Amino acid sequence: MKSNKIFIFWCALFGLIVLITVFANLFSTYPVNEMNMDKVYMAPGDGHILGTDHLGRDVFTRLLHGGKVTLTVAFGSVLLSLVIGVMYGSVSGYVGGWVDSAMMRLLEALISIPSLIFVLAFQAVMQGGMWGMTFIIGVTGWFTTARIVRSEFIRLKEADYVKMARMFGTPIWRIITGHLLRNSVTPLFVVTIFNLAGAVFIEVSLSFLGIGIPPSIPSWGNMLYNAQNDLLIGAWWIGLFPGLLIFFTVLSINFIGEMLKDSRL
Amino acid sequence: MLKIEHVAKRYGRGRQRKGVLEDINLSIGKGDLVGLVGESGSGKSTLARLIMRLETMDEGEISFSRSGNFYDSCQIVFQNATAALNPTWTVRASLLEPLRLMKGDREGYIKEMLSLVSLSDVHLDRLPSELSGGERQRVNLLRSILVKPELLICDEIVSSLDRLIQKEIVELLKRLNEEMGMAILFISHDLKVVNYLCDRVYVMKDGRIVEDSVKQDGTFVFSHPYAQRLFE
Amino acid sequence: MTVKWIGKRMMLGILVLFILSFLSFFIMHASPGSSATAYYGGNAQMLSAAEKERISRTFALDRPLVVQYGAWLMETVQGNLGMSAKEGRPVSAILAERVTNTLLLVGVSLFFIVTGSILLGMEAGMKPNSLLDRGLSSFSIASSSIPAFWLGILFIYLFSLKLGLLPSSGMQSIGGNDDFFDKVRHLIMPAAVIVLTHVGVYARFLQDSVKMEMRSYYVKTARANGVEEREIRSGVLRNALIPYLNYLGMTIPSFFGGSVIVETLFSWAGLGQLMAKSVMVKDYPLLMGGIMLTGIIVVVSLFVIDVLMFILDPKLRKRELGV
Ligand SMILES: Nc1ncnc2c1ncn2[C@@H]1O[C@H](COP(=O)(O)OP(=O)(O)O)[C@@H](O)[C@H]1O
Ligand SMILES: [Mg+2]
Repeated sequence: MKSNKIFIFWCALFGLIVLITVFANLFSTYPVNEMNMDKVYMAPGDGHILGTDHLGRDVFTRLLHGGKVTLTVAFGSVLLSLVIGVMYGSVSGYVGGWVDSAMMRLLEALISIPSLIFVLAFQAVMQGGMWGMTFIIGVTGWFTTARIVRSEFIRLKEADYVKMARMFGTPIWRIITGHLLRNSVTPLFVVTIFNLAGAVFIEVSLSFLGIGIPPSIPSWGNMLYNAQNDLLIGAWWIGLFPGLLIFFTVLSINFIGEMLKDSRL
Repeated sequence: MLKIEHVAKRYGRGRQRKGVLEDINLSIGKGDLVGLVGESGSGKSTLARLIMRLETMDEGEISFSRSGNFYDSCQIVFQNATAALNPTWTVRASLLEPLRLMKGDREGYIKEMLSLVSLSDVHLDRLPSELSGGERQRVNLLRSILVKPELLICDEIVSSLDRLIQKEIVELLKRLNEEMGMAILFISHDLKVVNYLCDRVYVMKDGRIVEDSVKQDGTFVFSHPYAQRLFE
Repeated sequence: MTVKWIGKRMMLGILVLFILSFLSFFIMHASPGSSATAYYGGNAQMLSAAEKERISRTFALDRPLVVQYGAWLMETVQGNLGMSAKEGRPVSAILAERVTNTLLLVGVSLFFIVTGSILLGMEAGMKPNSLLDRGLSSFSIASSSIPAFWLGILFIYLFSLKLGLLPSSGMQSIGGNDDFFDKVRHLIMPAAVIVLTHVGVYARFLQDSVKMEMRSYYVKTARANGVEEREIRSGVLRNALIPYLNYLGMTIPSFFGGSVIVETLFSWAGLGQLMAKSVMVKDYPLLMGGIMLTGIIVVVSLFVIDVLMFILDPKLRKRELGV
């Protein structure tokens, strides 16, 4: 009972964050990119509830719009990972035999490589914008998904209802979608939730380093790009608020994932 | 219709290889009611899987005399109805699965057949978890007979049900046999039911068929001591 | 049987290096300009015609892609990683300066993560319902939800700016000469950031295995037979360490990814910072070299974990050796 309430709390918090960023236009108090050189580095207070940055832009407004970018990248890339991971895992798990062994060896090797290495390599030659970033995080983030799909398939394909389906002549794609994937939804959902947290991390970290989303697009990571220097001159609010929002977003995602995982076991 | 000759099946590899079936001979004619009894682990389910071509045998031959798609004329009902139904599919979806290629009013046909297993339209939109054990097994059975097979293999389908529902299902099988001329291979370790339902019975022990007997005057007569003990 | 096991693990290592070599070669090819430019960077224009001809021959630039890959791989294996596009020095020389710094940072962090998580995880697992037991999972989730670089920024603000206790970046103070304690002072914050964002997760993992062990039959029998608590502890730890090491092996590569961010934030002159910088300034040969070297480090560390597992896990040893 108690854990149910906690679960709803985290879902509500995450939902709230998603909502205010989706409807950023409604809540924002200034145009996103409006600069005001007379009002640079204003501390939180009248007019600018979370202050302004080094170009006099409203931190609160950029926080909402930045969230839209960061979360779009995260959701988009996770979706891409899901598609790739499901396809790879399905083939490996369904076909089995030496195809499965070979694909698993490859996957094991891919998992052993730090995913940030892949991201850096792609980023070096792609120099894409927001969608480029989404693509990069997506194509480098499907490994765990594939592994889980594969192990679920191996477990489920021996189920009696799958044997029956084969005897009824149900087409393979229907067996895969209707029987195998349909019954792997819960673990797939859990791993996708954790991937979402990971995707937010990668976007903000790379943008913070200056090798993520181009600085012209506001994202939570980009807002922190100057935070280190701003902090040195005492403008703590520029780094604090995006960081807190990232923290609470990832925290709620992680708690949701953990609680779903536990309830399944 | 079905003829099994000198079939053997082994599992495992190398030193762990072990024989599960040895020199099995068995035949089923059109419209036969045949029982297959034996203790748990004697290899009954393995034989059923071989007949259904779900696994390959190591020796011998199984011939089935009907041409066309094998699974249109031979079907199986598994023991565990919970495992045999996709937990995320409604009864309707599960029942539609074997009728994928059927032309005409599939829904109407299903509704018509539902009454055969004493289920009704209200069950169609339920999930397996929302059915009782008996209802689940009836859905499972119905799904296998929708294609009107000529041979139906029932692998311990009543073993986990209570007596009342057992009786209902056995009566249904009897009716299917009489009305549609469906041959049935009834696998069970429950001798009472076999005695009641079947006209002929094979007794299995440790992967071998030790005896077969035809019902005379309502009972089976055995000469093998194991079979005698079993049917005492 | 051991031979088979070692062979299987070596296959994995070789596969990892192969994938990374494809990735490197892909970078070289996808990068703007000719392969020679990619390999020799800005200096390519200054090369003489004869030099260019020689390079073209070495790297089989007029041959099919597979041959080019083979030629490039041959050079790479021999340690010829090309010249840095921006610094005009051999990539291998630059990497050599950097690698020890990364190993130092990751090594020290790992040491504290492992010891810290074993202490915390054992304590929490052995004492059900204690404060630590109940709090550890929340701590683990919360600490792994903080972006490392942001925690780093907070640290810099607090410990460098406000309290003036620790240097905010670099590896040694300006004008300082290779002083050991100076380096340690510079190491504290970046290492602390890595440790704090990771230790909870590992501690929680160990806690779960310890709890599972505590419920097992042998602990109950040992307790009933009056075996000393110290012996039970060491037995439980030994068994719980096996899945823990497995988990560590699975996640160890991520430390070398994560060090990219922390090194850059604290200007720690390691491989990670080097790779991030080379992405920014498009120094392709340097990035390629960094990727290959990181791969080698990962493969070696995976091997070390494997050996530790082999020593600890009697079942694995028995199966593989056929004892
Ligand atoms: N896939 C398999 N692999 C190995 N052994 C099996 C397999 N399937 C069944 N067996 C073995 O074959 C024997 C017969 O099993 P089964 O046919 O299920 O018996 P029954 O249905 O009569 O209870 C059992 O000893 C069982 O352990
Ligand atoms: Mg059986």
